[in-house]
Amino acid sequence: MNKYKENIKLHMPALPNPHLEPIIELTSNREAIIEGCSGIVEYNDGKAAVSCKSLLIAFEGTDISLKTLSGDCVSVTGTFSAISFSSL
Amino acid sequence: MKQLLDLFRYLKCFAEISISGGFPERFLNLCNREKIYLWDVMYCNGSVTAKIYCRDFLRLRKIRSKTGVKIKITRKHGLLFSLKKNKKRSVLFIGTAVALLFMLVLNRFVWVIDIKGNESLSRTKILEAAAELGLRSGTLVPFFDEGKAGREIVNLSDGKILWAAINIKGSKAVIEIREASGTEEKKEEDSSPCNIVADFDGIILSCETYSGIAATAKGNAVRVGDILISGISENSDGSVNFHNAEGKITALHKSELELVFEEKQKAGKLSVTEKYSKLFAFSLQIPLSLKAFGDEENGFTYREALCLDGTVLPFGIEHKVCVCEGTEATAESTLLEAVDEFSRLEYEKYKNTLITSAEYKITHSNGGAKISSSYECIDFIGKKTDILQEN
Repeated sequence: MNKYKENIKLHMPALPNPHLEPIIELTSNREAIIEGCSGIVEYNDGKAAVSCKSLLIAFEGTDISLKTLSGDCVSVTGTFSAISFSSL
Repeated sequence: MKQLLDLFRYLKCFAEISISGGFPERFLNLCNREKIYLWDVMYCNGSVTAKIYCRDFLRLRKIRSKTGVKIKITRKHGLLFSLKKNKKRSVLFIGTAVALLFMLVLNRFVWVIDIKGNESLSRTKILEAAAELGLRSGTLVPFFDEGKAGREIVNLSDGKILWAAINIKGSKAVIEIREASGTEEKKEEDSSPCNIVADFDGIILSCETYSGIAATAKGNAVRVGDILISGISENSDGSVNFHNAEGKITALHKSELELVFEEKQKAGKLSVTEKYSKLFAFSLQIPLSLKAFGDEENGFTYREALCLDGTVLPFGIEHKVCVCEGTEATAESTLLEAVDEFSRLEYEKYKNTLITSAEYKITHSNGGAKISSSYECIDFIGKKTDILQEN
């Protein structure tokens, strides 16, 4: 039984921890829902940057708007031309 | 779903705000931390616009001072704002409330009475019977017992109605009846041997034999007395079996009808002398003229009611017409009365017959009128005749 447990421990892949890492749901290039974000870093006409725990996600494009902003969930809409990731 | 959300937000009241200057990003983050819900955040002409509930707006003061932004209300949405805007139009709200109350109260009454299932019984008689039991236009629904009234209608019909039920749905009462028609004859099944013979001359169009041997076929010409379905069948050994012949046979035949109408039967046509009208709504009646109509005068009453999508409403105009007989008969009035009498005779004779063609001829004679007609009809042919057996 212990040998079985050891094998499982060695071969199991590391799963992402939803409490630490953000989850991004992208719908075409029109809408992105980010869960696990901590705040808005930058927001202007052509760019919106959202900070997560260890990541900065920037959305560039036209008509960028924040559809909903509640708790740790942000919904960004618009026509995205680029999505960039950088570490904080 | 989006419409439901928009309705909810409208009822809760929200405002569109414009945030300029200072640190708008920090403003958004602080709102989020304070659980102040913002939506439709957009960057527009150097400022950030957003929508916020009115209750949450009152909590923005502290955040505004921390971030140094300027907040301006651009637009307000909500039921309370609409009511405040139309505060001076109190009659509008009173009218809406009165209309709703009117609808709620009127929904408790029966507006329309519909009758289903009546074939020989007239609608007027059934309505009169229902009125005796308390069901009429304007009856209060909660005080009317549908089940009891349905049973009472059968008792009042003198055996003409087998079953009746009254169902009230909303403001419409539906009286469903089943008439008693010829069931006694059908129950007496005669099993004695018989043939089916033709009871008029004609050409057979269809022949369905249920019992017996068919002695004719489609297209055959038959005369009165010809056997159509035989009740005697011969077996291969020479013995004979007797049956009660049964079947349905239709035939095309010719028929005639004639009426001689004499002038002295009637003194003249009816003419209208007076006409009175009144408005009616449920049982309320508002006369449209100052004259009173006495019951002893000859006349009749008819109603022109408003109709909405096939439903007759209890609002309209009731007319009472006073008539009297003329003293001088004219050829025209005699002819009209003759046609009326002929139509009645034609209906009585041919109500169960399919008429394929008809020719009419009207002649005037000695002040009267003679109407004759010939028809080509399709009808069921055949009557049973017993087979006499010698023992």
